[in-house]
Parts: sequence; structure tokens; C-alpha cells
Amino acid sequence: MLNLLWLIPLTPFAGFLLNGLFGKRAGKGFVTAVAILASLAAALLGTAAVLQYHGAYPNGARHVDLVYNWFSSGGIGADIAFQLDPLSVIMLMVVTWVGFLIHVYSVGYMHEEEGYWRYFAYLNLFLAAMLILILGSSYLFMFVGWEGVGLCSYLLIGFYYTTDYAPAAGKKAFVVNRIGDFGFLVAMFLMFAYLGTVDFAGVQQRAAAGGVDASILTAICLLMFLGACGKSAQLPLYVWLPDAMAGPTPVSALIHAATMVTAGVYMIARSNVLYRLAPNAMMVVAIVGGLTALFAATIGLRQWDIKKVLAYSTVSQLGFMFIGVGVGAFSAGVFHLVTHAFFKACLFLGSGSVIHAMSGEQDIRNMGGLRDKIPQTFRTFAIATYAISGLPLAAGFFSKDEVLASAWATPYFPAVGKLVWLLGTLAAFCTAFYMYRLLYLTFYGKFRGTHEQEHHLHESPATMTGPLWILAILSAIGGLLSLPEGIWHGPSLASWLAPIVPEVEGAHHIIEIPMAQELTVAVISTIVAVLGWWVARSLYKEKQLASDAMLEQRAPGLARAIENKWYVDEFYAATVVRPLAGLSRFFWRGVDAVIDGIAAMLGFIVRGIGDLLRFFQTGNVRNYALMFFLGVVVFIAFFV
Amino acid sequence: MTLHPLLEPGWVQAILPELILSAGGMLLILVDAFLPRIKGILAPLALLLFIAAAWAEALISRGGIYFGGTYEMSPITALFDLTFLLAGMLAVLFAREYLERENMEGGEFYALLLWGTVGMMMMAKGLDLLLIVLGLEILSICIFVLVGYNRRAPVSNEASLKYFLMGAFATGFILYGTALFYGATQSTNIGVMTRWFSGAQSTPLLTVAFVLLMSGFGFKLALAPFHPWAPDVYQGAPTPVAGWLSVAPKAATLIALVRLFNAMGPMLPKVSWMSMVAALSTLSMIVGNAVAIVQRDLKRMLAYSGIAHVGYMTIAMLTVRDDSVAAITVYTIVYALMNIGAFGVVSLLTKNENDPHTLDDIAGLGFRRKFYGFALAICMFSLSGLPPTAGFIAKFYIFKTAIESGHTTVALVGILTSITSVYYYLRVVYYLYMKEPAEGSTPAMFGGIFATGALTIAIIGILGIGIFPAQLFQAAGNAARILLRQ
Repeated sequence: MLNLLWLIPLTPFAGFLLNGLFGKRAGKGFVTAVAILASLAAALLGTAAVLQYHGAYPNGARHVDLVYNWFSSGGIGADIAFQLDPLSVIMLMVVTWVGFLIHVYSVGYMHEEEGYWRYFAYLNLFLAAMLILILGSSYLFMFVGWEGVGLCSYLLIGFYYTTDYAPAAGKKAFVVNRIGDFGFLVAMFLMFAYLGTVDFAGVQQRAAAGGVDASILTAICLLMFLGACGKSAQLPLYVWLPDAMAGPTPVSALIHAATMVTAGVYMIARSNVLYRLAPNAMMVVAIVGGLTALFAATIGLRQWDIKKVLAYSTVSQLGFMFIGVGVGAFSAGVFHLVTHAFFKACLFLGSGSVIHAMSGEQDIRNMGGLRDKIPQTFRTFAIATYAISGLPLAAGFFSKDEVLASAWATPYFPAVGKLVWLLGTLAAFCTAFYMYRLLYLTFYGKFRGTHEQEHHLHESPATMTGPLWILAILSAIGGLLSLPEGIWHGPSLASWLAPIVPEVEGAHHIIEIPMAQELTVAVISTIVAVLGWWVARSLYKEKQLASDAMLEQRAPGLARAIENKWYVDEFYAATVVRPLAGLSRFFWRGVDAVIDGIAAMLGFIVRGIGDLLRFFQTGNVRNYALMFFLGVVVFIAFFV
Repeated sequence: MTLHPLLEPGWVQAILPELILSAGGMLLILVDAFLPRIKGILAPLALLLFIAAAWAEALISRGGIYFGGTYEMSPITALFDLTFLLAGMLAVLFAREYLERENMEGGEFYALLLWGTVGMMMMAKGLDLLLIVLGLEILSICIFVLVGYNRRAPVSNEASLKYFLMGAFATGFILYGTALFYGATQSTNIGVMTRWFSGAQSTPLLTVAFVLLMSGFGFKLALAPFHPWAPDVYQGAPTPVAGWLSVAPKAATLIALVRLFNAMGPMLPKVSWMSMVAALSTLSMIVGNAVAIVQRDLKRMLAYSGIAHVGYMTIAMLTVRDDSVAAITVYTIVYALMNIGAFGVVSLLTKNENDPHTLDDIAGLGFRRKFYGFALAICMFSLSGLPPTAGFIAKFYIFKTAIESGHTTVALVGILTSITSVYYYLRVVYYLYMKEPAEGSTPAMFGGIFATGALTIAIIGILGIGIFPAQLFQAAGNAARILLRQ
């Protein structure tokens, strides 16, 4: 299997082809079978490869499966090659198995949708692209997957294309992501120019060997981080993710929570050698991560749309992951990525189950009291809420704590580390608060929806609750993957990932956190999380919406600002979108048409109205010739 | 001065492709004149002639310099000739059903495509500025007629006239530039000029000559600010012609310029001429991409996008090295496939040619006519440079060589603008797959086996080169090294 790694992305791609070509005519049974089997096959093949890899490379070395040389010239080139190493193994397991669960869930969730075949074709294509992203052995090949997932994300966000907002949201996602892609591309060109390769191992070796200017490494790292900001929705490029909720809910769970949006974190963990040699870039990553974590969490405090709350929560949690990789705790960042995949997928799928039960309703103001109506959904949602809030002993508790403790203890920039820790801790408070607010407003109190909705309330089918339970259990026990050093000395996620962070001269190695600090941070985090829960409980469990109204009265300006997401979209529209559109129009109307206009005016004066139309036709050519001539004159004047 | 024997042995084989195409064009007209009933065989015959020429090009012609040092056959000219032939074939395939639909099929249409290709071959192989200009004029005359081929459509006539007037204007500049070069170097022969340039100092006269020549060629390439004719002409020309016109003549001009720049090589470090090329390139990328964003007419959008694409290609001209020439070579091939493919799908829309072909016309096409929709989407992905299409690898290579040669600023503008361009290319895909057609207003698609064949070639080429580009890059790199060694 190790030499057949290419089969792993190929199976979902085959699923995409089959469903894309024949799905419409072949019917739902065929589509379901193909899509589920394709994702299951990818998961099984991936698991087989991982087991073999573990046997063959017990010390965590890199396995490369070269398919062929993509192109090469002048000693520079790139291969089509897949690789397995401890980091890809983790990503592979998360992506394929969570992906499989969400495929199963989608069968129940989407069964009444028009375009069922289209949905599963796109979903399989996404899986294939995502697998290329995490298995590719060079930045360039990774970029192929990177663009592929972006495209699928665009197609799936715009899935309900008959609505107005869905295609617009898809477009926004794609355009914002292209800004990030610019960074990624330029970073690759710089690698080609200064390191002579884009292969992961090659880049690592040449950077570690020294001789490359630190400013170049910093530039490469910052540009890559720009790419990561786009894909992983960090400040200031996060704006597309909340809108991306226009897509079907399982897509939000798979692409916009568990897998694609974590690609940026993966990228930085993958490039840890470069980043450790450019601590300034790391500091930027950590600060942006911390600010995003807090900023998005505050917006989450006052959203009404169940999916929007989760979307901002995702942005915020991604911020935590970037804190982790930014302060040099690469395994902690990846650990949080894994646990987040569990609980956030569970929450999104749970929200999907709620929306399904509520006949499409997404506004929590019209929900309430669902606890007894959809008990399975409620229980799984409650477990995942507990986990994400960082309450003791669930998955989020361990991973978030690891991230925050690392920020506190980081050797790269101790003072800034403390600040980032503070941002993260405040965000953790908000997280517990908005998640429990969501839980209480949705599942407690009295039902606030219409009679019809109440009449239709029903628990989701087993294809939906099954995945929910699996993810809920993982959310509860996922923390066991990587217990802190002080408690557990055996194999863990951290020790498994240790080989991907090699010793490099002139750079810090894995962060050692003293036991006392670890404990202090853990206690503070726990207090903060419990506080967040307690405040939310006292405000919302009984009083429900009344509390929001009360808050609005107390601080109307602040409430409105948060409700309107700090007016960031409006800010972008005024500063970026409109000027750009104006520029485009300027070139069109201005450069190409002003000359037309002047000549037309002259013609109007000289020949009168009757000749005007005729003049436009020949007049154009005259203007073009004039422009041509002016161009020549300008160039000659410039040179001579 | 030594006298060359005018006809070296092997000259027939050397220009066999040109001979096949020239005679073939006459044959087509004769067939149409004497057998007017069987218009159906004209297109297959033209295709056969293109294939025969390609066969002669690839297998019969031998490398070398002929006709007294004025005509060169080498691997790079073979690659470019094959690109012209590919473009010609695709144009014939799209034109077949288009002309039938518009009821204007005629032998002269295909003949003009063949002869135009001969002109381009002369531009690629000519080792003498006069020969290059001669080729350019043969090509231009064919273009005038082809653009105005739809005689009943005023928009077509207007486009033809515009191209004629502006083309004549631009040719004047090229001729004047050539004359000035002759005045300075005492020769129009590239070989002689190369030797002269290696020891010469720049004079204002030479600079003026360069600016005039570059402006004229910039017109043929539709580089900003010499571009305004392009949108009007593409919009008015019969759509298959527009596709061909947006690709093939530009490729021929590029290879001629590569030759010229290579000859000037020793001189270039001493002068700032390349800043003019950089300015043209930058301006084209910015204007082309910025204006394409607001276009709703597909042909005009593709015209502006073409301006931008020539901008990208011109980046690689800034330093003539083996890998930059290889980058241009690969880019032209890829550009031929994706741009003619895109125009090809537009040509299938059954509409009054005087009306604009807008985005609304293709709304929902991806579900109504799956194959055409898919083909257009692939072309758009490739034009926007998304992996794994050929457009990505070609563009990537251009930017990579530019950055390695130190043209970082221009390359950055290229990367930024090409990222902006995704917006309008993807809007086409958006209309294909995410837009309901307005009621009863979408035109029918008219296309048969010829168009399907052409699109299949385009799709296979775009994906094939994108996924397996190594051989093509290697061939282009080797050919470029042979060209530059001289």
C-alpha cells in the first residue's frame, strides 16, 4: 500500500467522475452507493497505508511515493509525489474518517434535495483535492490540492444556486481566498529562487543548512501565512467563512470546520523549520491567531443564526490553532486541530439535525425547548458544547490548555507570549459563554417557533444520529490522544509528531513547559471556562431571550456593533471593493472611452448631429490611431 | 561579401509545409469553383492539408539555413509552426458548422486560413527583417478578409475596416523602424545584425528604430496602449476567426521578436529598451484584466483577457534565455488550446452576429449542454491558471523564469493581476453552473461532430499538458537552447 498512496485520492476522484457523469440519470441509490463506497475506500486504504507506514518507519521518517516527474528545467523542477510522515498520518486519519462520517450523515440530510448527485460528486471531488493537499510531497503539489479544495468549496457554498445569497457567498469565498493564494504563490517563487526547490524535505534541509538570508525566510514565512490567513479565515481575511454558511450544513461541518479551513495550520506545522528560523514571522502568526480568537469570539456572542454562531466559533478556534503553531508548539496546534475536527463537526452536524427538525429554520430566536423533542441531537450537542468550552477532562480542555500553556511558556518571545495567552484566555471565556448561550436558547425554555414547525418536529434518522454519536464520543475522550507530560509518559500525539520538528541549529526545539506553569494555566483556564458557562447559564437557561433584550438596553451601542460584526464587511466594501470597481470602470470608461468622447464632441461641433453616428464608426479608428501615435511619442520622448 | 548559392540542396523539403499550404489553398478555391455542390468536403480537405503540412513539418523538413541565409528551419520554428497548424486546425473545425449555420461556407475561407498560416511560418523562420515583414503582410491581408467574411453583418465589415486601417498604420511604423535599423546596421539580415550589435554603441537613431518597430509589433500583439482595436475586431469577426486571430498571429509575432531580441542581446545591457517592453507588459496586464472585469460580452471579455495574456507572455521576453523562450513556447501552445476552445464554444451560440454574445446567453449551459459547458469551464479554469490545467503550469513557469531573471516587480504585477482575473473567468463558470437561464431567452447551441472534435482536442491538450508537462517543457527547452546558441 505504501507504494500505492496515489490510490487514496484517486478513489474519491473516481467517485466524482462516476457521479458527475452518470449520477443524474442513475438515481439516488447509485449515487449514494458510489459516494459512500468511494469515501469509505479512501478511509480504509488510508488506514492500511498508515498501519504499514507505522511498521516500516517506527522512528517517524518520511516515506515518499514518487509517481512521476512533473516538470524540470535547469536543475529545478517538481515531482508528482505523495508522502507519509507523522503529520500527514494525523491529517489523513482525520480527513478520511471524519469525511466518511459526514458522507454518511449527508445521505440522511440531503435526501430530499434536488441535485443530490451534484452534491455528492462535489463532495467526493473535495475529498480527493483535500487528500492531495495533505499527501503531496512538495509545496507545488500541495498547491494543486489547495486550489482544488477552494474550487469545491466555491461550488458547494453556491450549491443552492437558486437563492441570491449562496452564489454571492461562494464568490466572496473564492475571491478572498485568491488574496491568500497570492501569498502562497509568491512564497513558492521565492523558494525556487533562493532555496532552489519546493520539495518539503529539500526546503527544510536547505533552510536548516544556513546560508539563506533571514529576511528572505521571514518573507517566505509571512507570505505563506498570508495564504494560511485566506484559507483558514484569520484576520483580516476571515470575512468569507461566516458567509460560507450559505452552503449545505454537512459541507459547513466537513469543509468549513473540520478539514479545509485547517489547511493553513497544517501548512505552518509542515513548514516549522522555516518558521523556527524566522521567529518574527512566528510572532506575527501568534498575534494574528490571538487577535482572531478573541475578535471572532466576541462576534459570536450576539449572533442569532445557529450556523453563524458556529462559524464565528470556527474562526475563533482556528485562531487558537494558530496561537499553537505560532508560539512554536506545533504538536499542540495540530492537537487542537484534531479535537476541533471532532467537536466542531459534531456541533455543525447537530445544528444540521436541528435545522432539519425545524423544517429549515436557522434563527435560534424561533427555537427553544428542543431538548425533549430531539433528544439524541440534544445529548450529542451538549457533549460537544462541553468539549469546545474547555470544561475539564473533555477533548477541548486538553488541547486548548496545551496551546495556552505553550503561549505562556514560549521561549521565542516571552513577553508577547504572555499577551497572546491573555488574548486566548479571554477568548476561552467568550467561547464557553456563547456556546452555552446557544445551547440554552436552542434546547431549553419554551418552544418559540410556529405551530407548523412544532408539528413537524422529529428526530433525525439513524444515518444522521449515528455519526453524531461517534463524533460526540470522540469529543468526550479525544483528549486522551495527548495528555500532558506530567500525567502520562507513554506514546501520545505529541511524541508521535516529535519527528516532524527536527533539531535545527540556531532555532529552539520543542517547548518544555514546567509542571507548575502547566498547572497554573490549567487552573486559570478551567476557572475561566466555568465562569463563562455559569454566566451563560444564569442569563439564558431560565430567562432566555429576555436577557439579550436586557443586555441591549444596558449597552445599545456595543450590542449593535457586535451584532453587526464590528462593521468589518462595511469597512471592506468602502475601502477595497468600491475603489477597485471604480478603478476597473475608470480604465474602461476612462482610458478607452474618454478619447472617444473628446473626439465625438469635436465631431459634434464640426459636422453637426446628422453625421454623428457615422462619425462614431470611423472616429473610433481615428482615436485608436491617435492613441497609438501618442504611445509612440511618449516612448520616444522617454528614451531620447 | 560572399555570394550564397540561392537554392541550397534540400530547400524543397525545408519549405514543404509552406508549399503544401500555398498550393492547397488554391486547390480549395478551385474545388469550390468547379464542384460547388459538395461544399461539405471543403473543411475535411482543409484539415487534411493542415495535417499534411504538420506531417511535413515534423517528419520531412530538415534543420538548416536556406535561401542565402534568410530562412531558417530549427526545432523552435518547428514547434511554432506546429502551433500555427494546431490553431488553424481548431479554427477549421469550429468554422465548419459555424459557416454552415450562417450559410456562408466557401473555399476561400479555408484557403485564407491556410495562406495566413504560410505568412506566420515566414515570420517564424525568416532570418531577415524584410522577410518577417513580408510574412506579416501576407498574414494581415488574410486577416482583413477573414474578419470581414460575414459580409451581411455590418459589425463584421466595420471590424474588417478597422483592422485594415489600423493594421496599415502599424505596418508603417514597422517598415519605418526596419528602414532605420537598416540605416544603422547596413543590413536587414538578422545574422548580420547580430554581429553588428555585438560591437556597437547605441545611438538615438537606433532607439527610435526600436521604439517604432516595437510599437508596430505591439499593435499586432494587442499590447496596451496599442490594443484598442482588439475588442472591436474580435467582437465583429466571425467567432471562429476571432479565436484564431487572438492566438496565432500573436504567436508568430512573439517568435519573430524573440529572434530580434536575441540578435540585439549584446546591446541590450547598454540600453534601457527593455523598460519599454516592461512598460507595455505591465500596462497590458493591468488594463486587460481591469477592463475584462466589467465586460458582459463574452467576445469582448476574451479580447481584454487576451491583452492580459500577451502581457504575461511579454514578461518572459524581458530576458531572452533558454528557459524564458521555452516558457513563451509552451504558453503559446497552451494559449492556443484554451483561447480557441473558449471562442469555439461561444461560436456555437446561435445568435444574430450583430448582437453581443453575453453572459446571460450561457446561463445554465452546464446542465443543458453538458459537454460544451464542461469544455468552456475547463478553458476558463486554464485561462485563470488553476491547477491542474495547463494554464497553471504555463503561467507558473513564466513567473518563475521572470523572478529568476530578476524582473520581480513585473512578475508581481503579473501574479496580482492574474489572481484578479480569476474573478471574471470564474464568473463564466458561475453562469454555466449556478445561474438559471432567463425565460426563453437563451440561444440554442449549434454544433456537431467537428466542434465536438475540436473541443475534445482542446480539453485533452489542456489537461494533458497540465498533468504531464515535462516532455513539452523539455522539447521547448532544447529547441530554445539551439536557437540561442547561434
